[in-house]
Amino acid sequence: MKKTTYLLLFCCSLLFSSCFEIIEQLMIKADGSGTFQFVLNMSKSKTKLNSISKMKTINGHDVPSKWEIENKMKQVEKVMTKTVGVSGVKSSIDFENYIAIINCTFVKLNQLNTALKSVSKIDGGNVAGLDKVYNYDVATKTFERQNKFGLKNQYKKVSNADKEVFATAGYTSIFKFENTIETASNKDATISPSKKAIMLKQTALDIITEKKSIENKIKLSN
Amino acid sequence: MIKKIILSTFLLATIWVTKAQSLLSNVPTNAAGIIKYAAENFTKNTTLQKLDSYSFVKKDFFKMLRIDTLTSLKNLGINFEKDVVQYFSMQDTSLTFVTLLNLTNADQFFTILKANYNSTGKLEKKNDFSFYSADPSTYFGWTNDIAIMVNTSYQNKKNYYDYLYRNDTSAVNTGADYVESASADSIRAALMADEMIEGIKADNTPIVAQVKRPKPKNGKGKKPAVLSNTAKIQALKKAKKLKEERQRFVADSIETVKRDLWYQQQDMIAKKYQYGVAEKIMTTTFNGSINSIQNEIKYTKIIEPTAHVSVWINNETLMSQYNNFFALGRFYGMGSYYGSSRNSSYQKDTSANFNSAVNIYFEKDKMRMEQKTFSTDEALTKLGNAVMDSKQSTSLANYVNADNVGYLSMSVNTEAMANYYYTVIKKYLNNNSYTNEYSDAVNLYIDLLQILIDEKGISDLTTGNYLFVLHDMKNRLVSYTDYEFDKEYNKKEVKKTKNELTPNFTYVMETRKDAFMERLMNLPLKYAKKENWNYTAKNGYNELAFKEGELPISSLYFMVKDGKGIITTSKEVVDNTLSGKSFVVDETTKADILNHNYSLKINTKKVLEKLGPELSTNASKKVNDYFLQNFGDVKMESNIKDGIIQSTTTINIKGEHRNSFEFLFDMMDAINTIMEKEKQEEEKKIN
Repeated sequence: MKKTTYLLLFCCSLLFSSCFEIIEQLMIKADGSGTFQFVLNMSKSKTKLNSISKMKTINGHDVPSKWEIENKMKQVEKVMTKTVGVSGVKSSIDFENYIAIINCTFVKLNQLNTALKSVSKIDGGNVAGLDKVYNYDVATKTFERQNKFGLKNQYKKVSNADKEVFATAGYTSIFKFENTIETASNKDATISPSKKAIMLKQTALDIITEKKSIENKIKLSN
Repeated sequence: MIKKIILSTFLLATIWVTKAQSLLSNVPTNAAGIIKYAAENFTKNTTLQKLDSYSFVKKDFFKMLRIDTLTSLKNLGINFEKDVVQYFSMQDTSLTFVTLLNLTNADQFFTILKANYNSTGKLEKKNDFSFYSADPSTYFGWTNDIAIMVNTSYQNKKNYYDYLYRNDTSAVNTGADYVESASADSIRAALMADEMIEGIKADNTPIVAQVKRPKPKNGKGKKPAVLSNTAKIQALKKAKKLKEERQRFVADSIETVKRDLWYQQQDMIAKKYQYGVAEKIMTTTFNGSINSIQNEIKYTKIIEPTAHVSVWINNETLMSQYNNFFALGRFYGMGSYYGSSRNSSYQKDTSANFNSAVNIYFEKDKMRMEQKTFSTDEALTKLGNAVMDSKQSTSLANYVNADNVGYLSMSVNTEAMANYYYTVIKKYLNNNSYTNEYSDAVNLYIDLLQILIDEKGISDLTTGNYLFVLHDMKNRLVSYTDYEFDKEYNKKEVKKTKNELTPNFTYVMETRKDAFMERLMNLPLKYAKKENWNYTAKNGYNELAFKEGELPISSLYFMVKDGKGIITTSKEVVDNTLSGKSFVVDETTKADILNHNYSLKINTKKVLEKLGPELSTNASKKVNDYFLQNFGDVKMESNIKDGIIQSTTTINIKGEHRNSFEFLFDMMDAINTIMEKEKQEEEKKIN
């Protein structure tokens, strides 16, 4: 499946809200196991979304029904649960506030990568680079967040109406560790006073246009 | 084709100066629609040099015509100082769009044609004119003075599967004169199909790789192993399966070739028809044998010679051609079920019908569109006029607040409208391809309906007086969920508020059946709890409340009082109605509403000011600002004048424009520049 289709599908999944936020949260123990949470918050656009949900199409894209969205969430949950080493998968969607959340625990980060890769294959897709999103080297105590999923060229082809979806969208990542953080490669990220958490906030547009990076290499203390 | 038509229309709309040597004499009386660009009237508005100066004209339009940007509009060989006429029709089962224009230089015109269609174009010399086939759907014909462009599309292509299962033996619907040459193409296509099918049958290449036996070394191979009975049965099964697969493959291939050739054949037939249609139009135009619409009352009565652009439409021809398009065009497979006689029996009702025209005037400070609807059939005219025999009620006009964003007032005679519909439905069904065969039964059924339906009762329930007012668009506080993070980046859900634009509107309709309307309004009260609606009875009205964020409005109020049914978002309107108060509407607005069957007004400034903050991209904000500075109010009024249904729509303009015609071009140029800049800035950001 082409990346453009992913971008459009993503637009559809967001129901063309003009404002949304993604929060990606990882808690990693010293042995590399941990918990993962993905939050898609579209609450700021809930009135618009309520109106759009009563339409069949918008900007030439089909508007998914609540049933279709719930069904897709269940599929994601099912696919992730099947991945070895990934457990406690729980998804929820609040149609009053338009907030979708997925939680899970993992034994190794590689297994979480595999689960994410499997999710991308649900509709016959195969996104390159998803098998290396997260990496944690127990020996060197180094955590890495990579991003090989470039959307820059695809974004250029998207219509102006669809581009508006990303105009004020935001992305936040929070990584927490048992050990303290010694160094972080991404200069936009901020480390908490205890040095056990790091946060990165970017706009979706900066990430898509590759003006800013969400990649980070974090060295932890022994 | 549509793009070409739009763009050519656009160019033609940019032109024309001087006296109208009437190209209208070349427009047939059975045209479904006609557009006339009056050159003399345009002269007063703008010059070719001015149009040449717009960057988007050169950049986009010239690019489409494959003309370099140094060329001027003057050098296209077209006489932009004389009228241009376009018309469309559906004769000979083809949907055809014709453009008639005057030439200044036939050689220059041909040079432009060649530049555009060099690879596909073909020039022929006919008796009175030059004929150029640009592509299978586009044809040009010209003399020294006049050029014709014909865009045509044959609408009776057949479906292969329909052909496969048909009972008759005719290959082509013999509805026009071009069938002989088309049939020759059919025979050629059939012969080609036979040759290809034989080729496939003769090809014995195995489709599945067989198990290779090892080649004997030095000519001495190992003795083949003796097969057991089970192995022999398996080998035979495998061979049988291979044979069946091969047979299926051959059958599929033959089917594919036959189908492809069938469609190629249909394309060839279409091409022949289209060529024939174009040639016929040009021949009759150049030898002057067209039965012209020029002096027909159905055209002259509603077209104004002083208009810059006039658009004339024969409503019923358009409707029947629309039906025809769907019956014979898009779903052309259905065509053969009706046989070749279908077209001749198609139009049974030939009585006069409604014709409409829009006369467009580009004035100094406004664009004015005068719409007229007229029928040469007196009975139909009477029916139309009876529908408009109605006057808006003052009590409804009083719902328009002084600083409203816009309103639409409508006053029609619903009793006359009900009677009018019987005639319209009869005409429609009698002309419809599926029901015209049963017109006697259809007419009887509609007459029965007319006996059963109480038109007076309908007019009592809804008198035909309606009013919609958009009072205002205000901001309201709406809560939403957000996340905040503490020092250690622990996530916490918080409630925040933001402003959202909410429309404040009222819809009022007049009724003489208050009691019935009240029962209707109260009916949902009984089911509200069960259906989980927050619909409650209040003191003199009902309220449907929405959850916060569910819709851009928080409540809808329903009430029936003093012969009015009201739906509104405004509590002020509810309270005013209950206490017998009303808004103070200015005299001009009141007169506009009370003196017209339809009256619409939009305060563009208010709309744009309210929408501006909602826009998120720089480009859309800049376009909004441009509109704010250059667009005035929009107004529409409609009623009977001189026995004709007439509407006037005016779009006022502001800003530095010589007139509204130049305003259109200035606006397109400005928007184009804004979008281009935005694109460049975005590319800079991305790269």
